[in-house]
Amino acid sequence: MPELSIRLAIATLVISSAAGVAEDLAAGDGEAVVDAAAEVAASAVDLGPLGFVVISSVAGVVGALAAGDGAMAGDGEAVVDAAAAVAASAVDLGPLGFDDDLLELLDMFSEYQQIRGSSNALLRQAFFDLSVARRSAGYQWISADMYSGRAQAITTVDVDPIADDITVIYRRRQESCADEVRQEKPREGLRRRLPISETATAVELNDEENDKHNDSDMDEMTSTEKRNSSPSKVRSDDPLLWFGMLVPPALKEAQSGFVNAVGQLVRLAQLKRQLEAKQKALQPMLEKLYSANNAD
Amino acid sequence: MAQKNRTLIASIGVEDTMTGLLLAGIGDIDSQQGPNFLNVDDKTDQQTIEKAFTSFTGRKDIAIILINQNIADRIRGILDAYKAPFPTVLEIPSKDHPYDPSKDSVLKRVQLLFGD
Repeated sequence: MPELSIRLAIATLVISSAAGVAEDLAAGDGEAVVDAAAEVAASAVDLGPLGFVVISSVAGVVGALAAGDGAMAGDGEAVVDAAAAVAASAVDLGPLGFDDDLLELLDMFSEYQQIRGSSNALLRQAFFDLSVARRSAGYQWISADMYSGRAQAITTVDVDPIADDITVIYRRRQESCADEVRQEKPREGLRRRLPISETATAVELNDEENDKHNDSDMDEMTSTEKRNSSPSKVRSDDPLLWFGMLVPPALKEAQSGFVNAVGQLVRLAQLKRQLEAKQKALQPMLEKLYSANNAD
Repeated sequence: MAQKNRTLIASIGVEDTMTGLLLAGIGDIDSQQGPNFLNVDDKTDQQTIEKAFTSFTGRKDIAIILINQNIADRIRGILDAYKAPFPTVLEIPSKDHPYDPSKDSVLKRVQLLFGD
């Protein structure tokens, strides 16, 4: 683990620097103390933000002694011991990848904030569209009184406990259309006449298919599938139908906005879980860090 | 795995939020467990909200609970005491009450973590 060896090397350097400060202090060499303290601070920067906090506490100890009177300056060994103890806490932090975990937490938090902002914007626009739809259709037509008593979830999530992942699944449009096509297929014996408006399309399709296969049954099936998969087909379980057959366009826009917002909210929920887990893992180490910092 | 069956998104919110989320297709009414949503209005008392929240957290088919932030304030004690990973509770803004970052539990936890 190269990262560990690097951290250990830096920590060793810090300890030796602190010891150097102490020796210079004991010798009463003020300039050497300042130089050595600067070296400690430079090493602390290499250790990252948290290493900096820990190691700067070493510099703090030494600096306080440097500012002290001659009696304290004589106690070089005690300074070395104190510096080594604090620096050892930095070594403890290194193998656990503390800085990396903390940076990961901050990245996740940054993503959380971004998605929170975008989902709020989506919701705001969707609320506005809903208000416009209400104004257009009338309040009583788009209200809680119109909710269906037989609602079935068509937007669900998939939880993967191994990967600790939540993904949103929209079963709208494609799956329902596929179901309807499947229902049509077994009825080979009963042929339904096409409405006049659709006959021309079916004939055209038949002509095209005849050129290829010369099989009329297959052609009619193809035309049925095409009709079912047309975008104008309205799902029977679409919640939009709770509010009537001819809903205002603004309501469709609101629906689209809320669908997008739900996708973002699911991602937010997942990030929240991950942040909480990461926070739980980091809490003991941060407490240790703060207590070490406060002790100085 | 128990989590595999958690597929629903439950919601507790005011009418605009509920209508929107139901339009998005999250609504589900189970013949035994009842609906996975609660529409909160002026007449809805705190006990009803608490009961719905407790019911949703006890269900094995719900993965996420979305709750309006202003309604969450009314049951803050229960929400703060809730620590289970599933269902995950997420506070969302409503039409009349924009998102308030100072009440966000994630933000509060991170601030606490860094000693602010």
